[in-house]
Amino acid sequence: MKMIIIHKGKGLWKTVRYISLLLFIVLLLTGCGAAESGGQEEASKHVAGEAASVESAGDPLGHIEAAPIDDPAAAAEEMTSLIKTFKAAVESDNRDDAIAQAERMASIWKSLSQGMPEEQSDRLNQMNADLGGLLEAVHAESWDKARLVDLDYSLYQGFRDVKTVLQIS
Amino acid sequence: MFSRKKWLVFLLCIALVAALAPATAATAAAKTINVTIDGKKQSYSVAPRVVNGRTLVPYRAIAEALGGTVAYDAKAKKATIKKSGSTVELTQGSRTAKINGSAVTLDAAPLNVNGTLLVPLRFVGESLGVWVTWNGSSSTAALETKRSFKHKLGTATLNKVPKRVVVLFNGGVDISVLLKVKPVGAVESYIQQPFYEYIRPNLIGTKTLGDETQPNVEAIASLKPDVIIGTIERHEKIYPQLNKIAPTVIMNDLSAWQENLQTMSKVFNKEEIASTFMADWKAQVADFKRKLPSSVKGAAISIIRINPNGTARAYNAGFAYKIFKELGFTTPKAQLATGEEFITVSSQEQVSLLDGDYIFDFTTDWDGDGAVLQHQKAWTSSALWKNLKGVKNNHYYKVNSVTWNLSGGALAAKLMLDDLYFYFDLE
Repeated sequence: MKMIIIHKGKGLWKTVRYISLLLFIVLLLTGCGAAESGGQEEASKHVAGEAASVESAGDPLGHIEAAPIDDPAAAAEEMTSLIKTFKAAVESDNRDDAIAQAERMASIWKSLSQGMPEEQSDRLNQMNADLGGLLEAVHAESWDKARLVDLDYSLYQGFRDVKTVLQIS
Repeated sequence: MFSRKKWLVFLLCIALVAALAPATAATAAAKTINVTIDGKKQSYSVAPRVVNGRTLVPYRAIAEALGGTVAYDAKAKKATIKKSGSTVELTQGSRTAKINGSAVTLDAAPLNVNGTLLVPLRFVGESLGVWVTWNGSSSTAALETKRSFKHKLGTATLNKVPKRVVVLFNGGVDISVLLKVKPVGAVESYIQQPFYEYIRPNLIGTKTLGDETQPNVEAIASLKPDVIIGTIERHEKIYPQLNKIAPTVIMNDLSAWQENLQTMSKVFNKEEIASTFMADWKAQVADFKRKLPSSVKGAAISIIRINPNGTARAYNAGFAYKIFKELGFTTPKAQLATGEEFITVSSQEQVSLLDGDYIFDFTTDWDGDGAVLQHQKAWTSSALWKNLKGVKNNHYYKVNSVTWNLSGGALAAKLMLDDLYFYFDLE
């Protein structure tokens, strides 16, 4: 009985290997086809690939390094929290905190934005512009607090929409 | 690998679950479900029942009681129901049905019990055009073939759940989106035309009918609507014309989004969505109040805007005002003393009327030419302005004019409340 089971197991293993090989070939073939015909993968192509061209055209976050992110939901939560605490830091004239928070926001956004679908480029550009403006304004020698809070509010609303788009709300 | 002991525990658990499951199902099934049509109790050879949490009711008997005809193809296990020009196709065991050729997904597949096809209660409303409400305490499904809506200008009587809906105010358009009813026609937004960006993706295919203050009556008529939703403030003059086109339900207050949501959900047979939304809203309001520091509770809120003619206006009424009231905030005393709902402030000398512990400004650049923003700049750069308490305390904020003022719908209310978490530094 034991022998038969082992024999059956070996036969099964062989079948699995054949199926895997066939699947691999099929995947290779369909993969090439999709790439040529511009199928579903093409449709869901992310904006991330265009980052280089945007950067060369004056990406406001070009100098920011993307934060390493393992958990997008936790990163999104941190981002929302930072947007709120940034406002409080500005209103209480806490310059060091505000600068650190703005830079962290930009870094998180740089990572998360890589998941933005191409058709959401308006939202992506708005977030980039707001964060770029925020970084510039927070580093200015003399603060325009109203502008900083306005930009932060715009980020708050924009990121609320982004969370829905990225399905991380 | 599992040890023998672990296997034994695992198998015991499975046995326990298996032993309990039929008992639970039996309890649910044993509960008597009542069905009424226009208040009259119905009796059926096969009783309605709850299966896997879904209330299933005998479709043929209900369809026939409502004046429909039913044909059953035993071989294909398919029922075809015809009622008032509509055709419904149902297949036993399939969650996909067809209403006038369009596929719809049922909450549960139709079940054959002793030759009677039972379908989810919700589908009865969707397919037969009747209003369905579920009363949990009496386990009664109430079906209504007619509903009347009394309002200040008359009464609108509907003889079926409307499918072709026309909405003539922006708050109503927002509410339609929430209720998952796409209007055949709707007024266009004040800015961000044709519809406000936050709801626009849900309105693809909806025809625009002009401004909410002056909708195009001919365009409305051409859509052959089943119902028109308007408001007393905007549509009193054209109500007779509208009511000739279709039954017209008039809202009593443009900015009373909660009442408008309730009424519209009753018109559209979407009360379940509305009550879920309101439960969520109330929970969020409670959360906001709980989190608000005691130093801010009851703060005087000044809601303002700068007008295109250069004057300013403080709001002691309207959409945002109602939300602040619900959240427990107060009105600045100087504004209250005027006794006016909308206070026009024409000169810098009166600027103290715009003050509050917090000042929220939803000035709108109506024409998109920036002229009103120049007026805003003139107001906010003056020495008198800078002397206001709210301004000195860094509590003057420019907010989203669409979600705080122009829309006036339930979804906008949710966005405004979310904004307040930002402005009051709440997690």
